[in-house]
Amino acid sequence: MDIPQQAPARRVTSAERGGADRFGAIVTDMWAHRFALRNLVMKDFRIRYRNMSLGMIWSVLNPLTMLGVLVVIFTYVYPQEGQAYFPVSVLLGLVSYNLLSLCIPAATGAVLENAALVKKTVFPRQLLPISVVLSQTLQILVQLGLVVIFMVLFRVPVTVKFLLAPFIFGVLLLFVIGVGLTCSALSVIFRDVRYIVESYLTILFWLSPVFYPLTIVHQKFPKLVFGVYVLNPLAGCIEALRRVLLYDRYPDGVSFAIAVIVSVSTLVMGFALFSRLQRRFADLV
Amino acid sequence: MAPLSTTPAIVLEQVGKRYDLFKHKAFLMKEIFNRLLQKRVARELFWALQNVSVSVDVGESVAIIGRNGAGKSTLLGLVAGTIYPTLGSVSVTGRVSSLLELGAGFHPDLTGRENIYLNASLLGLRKPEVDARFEKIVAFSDLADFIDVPLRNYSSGMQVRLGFSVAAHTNSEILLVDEVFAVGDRSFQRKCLALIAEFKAQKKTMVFVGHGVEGLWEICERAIWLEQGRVVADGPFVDVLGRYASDVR
Repeated sequence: MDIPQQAPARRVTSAERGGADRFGAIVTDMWAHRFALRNLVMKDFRIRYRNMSLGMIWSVLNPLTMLGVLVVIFTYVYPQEGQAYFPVSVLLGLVSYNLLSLCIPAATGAVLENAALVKKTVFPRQLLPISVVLSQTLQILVQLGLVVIFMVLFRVPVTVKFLLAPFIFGVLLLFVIGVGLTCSALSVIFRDVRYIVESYLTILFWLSPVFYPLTIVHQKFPKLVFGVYVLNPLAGCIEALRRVLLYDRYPDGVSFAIAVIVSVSTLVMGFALFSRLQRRFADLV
Repeated sequence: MAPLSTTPAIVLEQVGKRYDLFKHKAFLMKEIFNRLLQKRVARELFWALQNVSVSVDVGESVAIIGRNGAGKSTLLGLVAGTIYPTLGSVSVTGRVSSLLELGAGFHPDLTGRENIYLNASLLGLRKPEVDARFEKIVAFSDLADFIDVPLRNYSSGMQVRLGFSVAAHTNSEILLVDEVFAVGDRSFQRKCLALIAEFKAQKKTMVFVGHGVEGLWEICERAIWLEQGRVVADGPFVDVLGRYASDVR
């Protein structure tokens, strides 16, 4: 009647201390704990909304307010020329930025806030920041619903290129998970990481093409500056999303390719760093 | 049934565990700055365990005794896999279920049901496995009436009951039990002991720590006495306990 279980053998030597477990072993272990990941996502989602009277409405209200402010400023105070679907374009930028600004700080605290779990139970710790990112992404999905409503209101024509949008969001999500793994592991050792992350995200808002097009940066600044600017994957991804969803064009080869490369390498490095540091978590949290 | 393996369930070889007790809270940032300036950092090294070699066979039940701070919980953490040794090696064969500070992973805002699913899945169970055990877990904990109530409304005794119930139903080969007998009422303790006797009959490997292990003479055939991170005595339960009792007095 009981489901047979294999008996895994585990051997840890001090020589491996500070070293990381084999990548394959971690991934296998994470796959075996996929039901735990689902439960962690639901836990995070539930405790965030259970004690709020307005609940999910907040996740729509926040970008709407910000959008209202930005649209008023850039329609009446500093009018912009020749930007089709300007409010939709800004909203798309805002929602993409929100993916970072919601997920990264939440993921940064994921290990520290689950100190009891880290000290007492054994499971792949990578699941902690990843689950928090995924639960915050659910909130972003609601905000994306808002984008869809705006696209309908502004009569944006539907094209086949829409199919590329989930892929572009996927790239951004990989980046967020990579940064989340890095920051959650580092914050166990340096508690200051949380504050660095917060101020960095504020700066990033202005250094990303949220309320201006990427082409402006390309036109007005030297090539080198543009090159550094697009190292931020948010820049390439926002531009790609706008092209695909609003202008029936393919993503810009250079900026999007850089975004993909930076996102994937951030994920790989974040995973490696986390796996290396996680052995000390129970001693430090 | 799988044949019983001849390799021991738990092997600790010359294990040492060192903690760095930094004097300041913001320790590592300071440490890095000081390292850059080639300064020495004021820190204390504390060996929680030193040169510990222990082997526990499959089906054996061992009690670990010693005063507060002797390293008992560190030893259990090493076997559970939450902490890693500074020196030596730890090998564990079989799935470990640690009943360490029961319900530590519980969240007060989640209901009993949600906490059962979260905790059991973290212990490595998949959905069909938890589904199959859910009724048993609830029945054992005697909390059927409160299962959809947030845990914040549970008494501490009720939380321990739920925690024990989840951990005891994971079908692990190795059970680590810490401070279980300090809480819970008499009838629940009797129930736990009956379950532990059942595990014993099933040839599960068990390690006990904490208050009340003196009463486990029917279960444990062996005891290990730790003193300041070292093994002082390791042998038949009654002998080691007798020596320990006379030493404490």
